Amino acid sequence: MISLILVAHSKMITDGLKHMIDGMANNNNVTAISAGGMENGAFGTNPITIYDAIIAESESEKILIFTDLGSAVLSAEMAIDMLTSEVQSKVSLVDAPLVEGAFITAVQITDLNNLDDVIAEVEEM
Amino acid sequence: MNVQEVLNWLNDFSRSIMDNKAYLSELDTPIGDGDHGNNMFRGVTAMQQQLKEKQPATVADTFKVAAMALMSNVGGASGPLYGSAFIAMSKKANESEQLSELILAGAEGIQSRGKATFNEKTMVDIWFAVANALKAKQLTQATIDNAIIATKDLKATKGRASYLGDRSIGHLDPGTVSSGYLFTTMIHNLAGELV
Repeated sequence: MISLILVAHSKMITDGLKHMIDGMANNNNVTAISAGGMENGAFGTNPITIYDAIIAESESEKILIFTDLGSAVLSAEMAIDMLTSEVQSKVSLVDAPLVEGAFITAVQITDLNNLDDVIAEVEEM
Repeated sequence: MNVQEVLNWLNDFSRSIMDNKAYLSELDTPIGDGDHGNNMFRGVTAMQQQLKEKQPATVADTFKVAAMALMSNVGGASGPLYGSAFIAMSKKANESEQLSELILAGAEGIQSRGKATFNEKTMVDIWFAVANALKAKQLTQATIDNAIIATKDLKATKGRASYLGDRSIGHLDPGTVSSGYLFTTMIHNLAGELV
């Protein structure tokens, strides 16, 4: 299993993107997790929310994080820093547009063998 | 430095943020997304509450509680930046409680998280200015005020304001102003550590 952690300043964005991936990507190798917004519904990103999402997926073979802008990247980096090196080694922060990057990854990944190619493609976007 | 002094400092810092919430958001409006005051208000409110509930027993624990509260409640880039500063200060406090070393560790924490260097119109500028002045035993309110004013004429090349290029010139950096409250309240509560 490959886990996609979705991070944006509004939870509605990451909930919507998860909904789209679940409904349209049609890929049993991939699971998407919405980790956007703040607990009380405020706009923003929360390193602890992202950290908890990663921990919940730590049995996956690979965990990819997709973000929107600014603090989403800092929060994701902070969450990664807090992990043990064992979990850290499975995690990549993907530098691609959130919606297109995560969706195309969800469609195209077949297994770990083509992972690097897919990431290289979405990071070109 | 004892826990009570650090708690008094952080509570005074929280009060400064609360009193200046509107001003901080106003500063953030022309060059950011206008939410620095609200974000920091949310962060320090959680910080005050958690410091009261958790009753940290050491200086290192006090900074750790502050770090976690700010990191998970601010929401904007200042959350991970202040969080990284306080985590670095917490780690350093396990070895030394010398204020200049703590603030230098905090400055390095911010720098490694945000990857900004000096003179990019970010919090990095004031944190290193204060760390250097502390080391030289020359920290005064003027050091803090000058570091804040110096951000006005700089062009931002890191962070949200960097999208604006030259239009960022002429505005104070909101993160530097909120850091200024941290250091002003530090001077008031930890005067004995400055000499």
